[in-house]
Amino acid sequence: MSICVTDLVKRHPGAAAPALAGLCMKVPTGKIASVLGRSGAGKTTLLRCLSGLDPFDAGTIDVGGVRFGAGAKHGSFGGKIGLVFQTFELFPHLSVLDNCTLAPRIVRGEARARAEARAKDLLAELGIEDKAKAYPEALSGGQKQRVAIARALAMEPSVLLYDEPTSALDPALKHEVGRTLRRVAGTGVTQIVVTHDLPVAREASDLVFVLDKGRVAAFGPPDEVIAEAA
Amino acid sequence: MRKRRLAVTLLLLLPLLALVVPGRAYAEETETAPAPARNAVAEARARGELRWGNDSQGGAPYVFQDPMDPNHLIGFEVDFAAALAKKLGVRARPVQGQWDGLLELLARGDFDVVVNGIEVAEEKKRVADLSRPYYVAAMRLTVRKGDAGAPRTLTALRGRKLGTLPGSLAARLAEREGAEVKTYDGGQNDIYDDLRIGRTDAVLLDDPITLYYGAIDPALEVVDGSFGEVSYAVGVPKGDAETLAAVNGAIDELAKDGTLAALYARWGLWNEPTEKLLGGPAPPSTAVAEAHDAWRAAVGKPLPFWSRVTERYPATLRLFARGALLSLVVSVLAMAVAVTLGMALALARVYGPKPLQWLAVGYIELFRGTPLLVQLTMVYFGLPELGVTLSPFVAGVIALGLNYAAAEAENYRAGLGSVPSGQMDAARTLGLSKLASLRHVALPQAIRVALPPTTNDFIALLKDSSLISVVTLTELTKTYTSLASAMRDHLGLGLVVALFYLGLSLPFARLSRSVEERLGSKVRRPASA
Repeated sequence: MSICVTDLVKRHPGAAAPALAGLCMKVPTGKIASVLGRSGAGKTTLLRCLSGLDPFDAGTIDVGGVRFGAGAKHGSFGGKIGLVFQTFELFPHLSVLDNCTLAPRIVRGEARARAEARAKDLLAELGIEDKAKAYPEALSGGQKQRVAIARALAMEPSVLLYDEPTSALDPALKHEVGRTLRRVAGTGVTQIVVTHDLPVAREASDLVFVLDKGRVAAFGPPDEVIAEAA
Repeated sequence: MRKRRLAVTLLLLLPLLALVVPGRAYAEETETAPAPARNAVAEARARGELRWGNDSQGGAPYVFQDPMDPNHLIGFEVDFAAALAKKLGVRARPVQGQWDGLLELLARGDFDVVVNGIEVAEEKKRVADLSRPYYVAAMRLTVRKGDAGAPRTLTALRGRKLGTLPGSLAARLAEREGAEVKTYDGGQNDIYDDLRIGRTDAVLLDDPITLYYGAIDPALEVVDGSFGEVSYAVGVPKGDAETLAAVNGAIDELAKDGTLAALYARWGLWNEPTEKLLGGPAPPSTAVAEAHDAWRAAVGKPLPFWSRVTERYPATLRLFARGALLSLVVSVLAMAVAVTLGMALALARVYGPKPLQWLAVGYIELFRGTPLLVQLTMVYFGLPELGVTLSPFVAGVIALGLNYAAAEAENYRAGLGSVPSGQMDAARTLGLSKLASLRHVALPQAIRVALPPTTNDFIALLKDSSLISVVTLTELTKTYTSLASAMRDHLGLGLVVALFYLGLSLPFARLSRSVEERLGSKVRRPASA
């Protein structure tokens, strides 16, 4: 489903300027959008507002026709919008399989057998089905990232957000990220990637947004926007 | 700012106490609340038994465990209480308490009467009423044999170290003479041991104690003559005229029919002042102090260690096992209270709204910063003033539990603090509620961190549970101190009690290690191929 953000405003208490100052962006269904910008441009704030971790002060977020306003509570889009953390934040006390089945079982009340079957399918899709019984500490960075993606996808989100997906990976693995994004896009999930990594943004995304001072300063196909910015 | 915070904290504590403590009030146990018009003898008759308070740790010849068979309490006051109860038409049931707290326990309603060498003195009458005396004892001075500089008169005590019992007439007398008074809670054996090894210069105590502990030690010498007299009376609840009259009447009859004279003679305690006091017939001149002879035979000369191990200790094992069981049950229940409350406090402190955080901090500081003994005393002796009278067992569990909850709360807070905030964020973005995030993500990780200090606390609690002896419970340590006094054997029995404590704590230490290893191995397990 598409996601449409309109006039999003977020002020941090005590800060002089708002972190998001009427930000607008639209990403069509199944597309991959990269969000670029200098530190302090509002990228992290945007992710936290979109994922429901932080409330916002004004504007709307529209996910596939369902509109959330400023009054929306924390986590009220839980499940609809997933987030893959920069540090992955896998649950270290749970196996890979349990990491992926916790939310479906607790939040959606899914039976264990069904949740595990779906999780195994997702892990297979991402090429890490052999790690189902392993614990996070035993995984490499790239494997952790794919577990984090599988864990988010297990809740069948319409939109999946990524915070700096290449920062914790070896350079050799970076091109893997693009492939993974494409695979996920194939399932119809809309993806927004916050990144500093221009090559990844250029190769992997359909759309690029450049943030500055809490607003979208430029957007368009990656070749055009990144050429301009460079 | 700091001061204001402190004031706020203190203010918040008051309702918290009210919340926590009477919230657990056990209504069914309030029937023993000290009412002004108590009639203890009627209660005893309704019950069919007279609960008489004593402290067997005080030792021979009053109330003590038979050194030959420590499962039985013997002593001239055991015989006296039995005769007294019989006159009142009921059975006698001894109840243990700390000696210098016996009258407070009586006021609280834990006993019907107290029979344990309670001296007739004005200050005692403020807490309880006293019966007519049933025995008069001379005070005797004991010194080291062959000590040329030993004080042998009252005036010679000035500036010298003198051992005696706390709160006794002897202590007051010696203080008045300017002696440096050292009092002992442990048992009468300790007082003479300290004299023998030179920690004190003399011991001033009642004749019965002197006879049973001082005179049987060949290294000590009892100075001729009396240094004053004390009378023993039965403590009865204050203002309870019926009980006082019934007890006085019974003592009168026991004096007149010769029961008391025969009893004292058997224990070797018959003396002139008591004869004058009782006014009844004297014991027959053929009377033998058989009980005193039995005591001398049993403990007069210490047995070699190995003989004690094979002959004496087996009989103590049942008592130790019973004490250990009580210690264990109280500790486990108290730990359950501590863990539950501690977890709630930690969650309130870390995730709660501001007022709840302050309450939690206030609670933790109050219970961590004040002695457990004070808290236990307040719960057991203080709450009855508010109409909440808890049984000794419940009071012990609650006081220990409330105290250790503060320590547990800090353990869990440290555990929760060790969980990165991103973990909670990750759980929230997956749609888990705050509570579910705590339950499934933060707590399991926090508990792993908190487990070692929690085990440590449990073992500490196991040892601290010895404090519940002040509320009449005979747990492991109290069992030891009583037996050590009755059998005049501190070192050997000390090893036995140490083994029992280790037997209780080591399995928990092991259990904790294996749980830690299991939790840890999950994380360290290498990726399966």
